[in-house]
Amino acid sequence: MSTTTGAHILTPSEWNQCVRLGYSAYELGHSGSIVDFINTNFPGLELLVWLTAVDSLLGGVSAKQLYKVVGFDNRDPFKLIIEYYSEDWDDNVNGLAFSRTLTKDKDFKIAAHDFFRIPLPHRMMGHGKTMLAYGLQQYLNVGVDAIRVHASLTDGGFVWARAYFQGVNRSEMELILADAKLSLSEEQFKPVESIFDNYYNKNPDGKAFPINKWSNMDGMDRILRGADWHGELDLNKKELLAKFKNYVTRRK
Amino acid sequence: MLPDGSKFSEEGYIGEEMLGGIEEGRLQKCMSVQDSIADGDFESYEETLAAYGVSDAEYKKFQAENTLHNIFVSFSIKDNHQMAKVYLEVFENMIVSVIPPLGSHAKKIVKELKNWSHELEHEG
Repeated sequence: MSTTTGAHILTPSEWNQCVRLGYSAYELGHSGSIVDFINTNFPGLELLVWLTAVDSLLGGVSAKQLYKVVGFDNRDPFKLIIEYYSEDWDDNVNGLAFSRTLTKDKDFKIAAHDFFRIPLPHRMMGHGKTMLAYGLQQYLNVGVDAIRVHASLTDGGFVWARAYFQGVNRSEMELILADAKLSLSEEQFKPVESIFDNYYNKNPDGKAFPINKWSNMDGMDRILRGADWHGELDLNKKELLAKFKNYVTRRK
Repeated sequence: MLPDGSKFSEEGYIGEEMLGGIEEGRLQKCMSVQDSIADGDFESYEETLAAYGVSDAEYKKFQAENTLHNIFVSFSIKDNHQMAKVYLEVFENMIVSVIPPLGSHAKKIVKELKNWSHELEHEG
């Protein structure tokens, strides 16, 4: 478990400022104070800083009614859910939806990148990268151990592999390998298979397949763009974190 | 709140923003070569390079830039003149460490590096 938790303690005044920005608390478990919940389970979280940044960046990208919710579940495993979405969130062209879940169980903290959709005119303008950087800072503040993402929608299978997320499920990696066998030449497929064999021979139950290697092999970008897999970025692996930070913060 | 999030996922264009151009792609390939060598994915260096379509020259340039970056970070010197002197001195130490005992060619190179370093010191 990461021990890099920060010292920030959320105050009732800070929460009131979040409310003034339009956020509301939503209790999923037993009733209780959201301030106490955060300070008990996610100490170090600069909620006001994070929510202000989210609001500044996403507040202007949709003309529709916006919903800003901070959900919390004080049953084990403890969950904090940040949601920011437009009334047409399910419209895959114009909808806005942003959802992050921080989960804490006995000895592990996870940040799940549940959903992020931006209206078409605002895509490819750096919003995704900026939001990732804002989130990462808070994950490090609260000592999150890993970020999880479901890589699938619109080329996600490729881009999250390039961003150093690692494959959690062997069965999903086997499907990608099978697709590669059908699509690639024998010469292209051989090294792809070698990466798979070497990792799973050493780690039969491994949950950190280095799919990034596949993303850098000829012919694999097309296959990964159509792939569906669950990835995780272990923030306790310093080298991996450094690569990810560099990837998120560098200029093109 | 949004309906059950388990059926959603991050849109790919969110990550697409982070994909760099051709140069970034080459850099990533070189990093993968490095990772594959460390993990023993292939039987030889040549096979590893071929797997990622990276040339020997490209990989060596990548390693040289990495080494320069590490030296830069390790010494935290902002003056270019001073930095060049440090590079030469580190390079000299690398040669001495890698090629003992020094043959006549290596001795000549080391001597030249020392002279060059002294010149930079006086210029500075």
